[in-house]
Amino acid sequence: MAFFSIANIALKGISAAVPKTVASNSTLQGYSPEELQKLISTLGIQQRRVAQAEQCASDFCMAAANQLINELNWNRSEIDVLFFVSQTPDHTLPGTSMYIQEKLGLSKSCATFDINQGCAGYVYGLSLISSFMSASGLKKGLLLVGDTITRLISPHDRSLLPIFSDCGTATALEFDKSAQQLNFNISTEGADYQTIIVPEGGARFPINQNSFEYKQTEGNIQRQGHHLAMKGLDVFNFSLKKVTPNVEELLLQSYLSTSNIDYFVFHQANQLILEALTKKLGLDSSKVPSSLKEFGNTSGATIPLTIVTNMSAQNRLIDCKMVLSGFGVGLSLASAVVNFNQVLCPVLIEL
Amino acid sequence: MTSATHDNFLALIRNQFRPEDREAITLDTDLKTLNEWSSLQTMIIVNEIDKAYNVILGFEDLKNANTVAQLFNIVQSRGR
Repeated sequence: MAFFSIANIALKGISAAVPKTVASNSTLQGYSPEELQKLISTLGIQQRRVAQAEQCASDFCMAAANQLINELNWNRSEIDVLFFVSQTPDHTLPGTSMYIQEKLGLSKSCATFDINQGCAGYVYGLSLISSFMSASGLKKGLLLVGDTITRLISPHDRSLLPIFSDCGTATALEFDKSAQQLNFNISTEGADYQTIIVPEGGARFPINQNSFEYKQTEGNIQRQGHHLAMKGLDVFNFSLKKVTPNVEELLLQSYLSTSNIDYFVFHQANQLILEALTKKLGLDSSKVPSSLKEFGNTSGATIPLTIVTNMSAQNRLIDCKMVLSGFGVGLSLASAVVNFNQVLCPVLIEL
Repeated sequence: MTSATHDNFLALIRNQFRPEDREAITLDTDLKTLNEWSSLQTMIIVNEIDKAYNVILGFEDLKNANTVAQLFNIVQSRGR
């Protein structure tokens, strides 16, 4: 079990940007009205946001970052470190963080990193950037987490089309000796790496002419080799079995109970999973915010997007204690206890 | 936590389907042959079984069970 604490790092702001283009689940083709009704109520997803062909995850992350930098009145030359967490980078190489450093007008002395992570990516990213800043003493950092996962979905995949959506987010962090420590609990189930996978297009199975043939799988689903494939029930079981003990262990090691936590922000996989986690942990549903209805599953971006869409309308500056928990591709799982002390949370951007 | 019996298990399974289809579902029904069967339906049933009996079924369990009765046997063998 990887439980650890990071000192001296304060969250200063969180922002998010989504595509303007809305796709509605109520008009999906190939479903009866009863099927659509059941689908929408079980997934909890009515609408999704879909990036245009020319829009990348980095574009949404940069819009969110620009908003945050401006509203925090940060000097761009003072940003020492940038992490970009995504599974839909602009190119296979170079990493996207270098491009972002240039486009955001950050200093050449800014250290930049690309991390390949998905649904647990926000908490993984938070653990990495906070560890790096805490150890190095670097003063200001940006964590950008975003994906255009809809690019990876087959147009003939009725199991995944109603779920996934696009988004980019930015989180600003600062070295602060008065900050309360961040606690993390991270685990990995590498034996299940094929549960959520894009099988072709990497070095092990490069794209070839057969990659573009549609292959039929169970449930009348057709995918090409470079499309995302997911064993939905196995992901569901992983969520039911592993997330609750991970969060319970995090709280135990942090000397906290569920009553000490104001909000539990889970990865927004689907409504069924959110309800199951809420029930298994014995939480009041008012402590478990959701952004599923309007924004679906935006991969690693769901946690910051949920914070922005639920908190920014209430109060631009958030003060509370949250548990954040992401789980999915890998399979991987990461939870954190985070204290929000005057964290700036501006309104959602639409691009 | 309820113990699984043929009666309450069959009632739980039936309740996950449309009212007009429920009567036709028996212990001998192969759920995979039903029109409503889908990956979403599978998730719903796994969740309901977990809530009722504290047993989490996997993909292999559902693949191996051809009838409601066989699914019941798996749940009963894992229940406390």
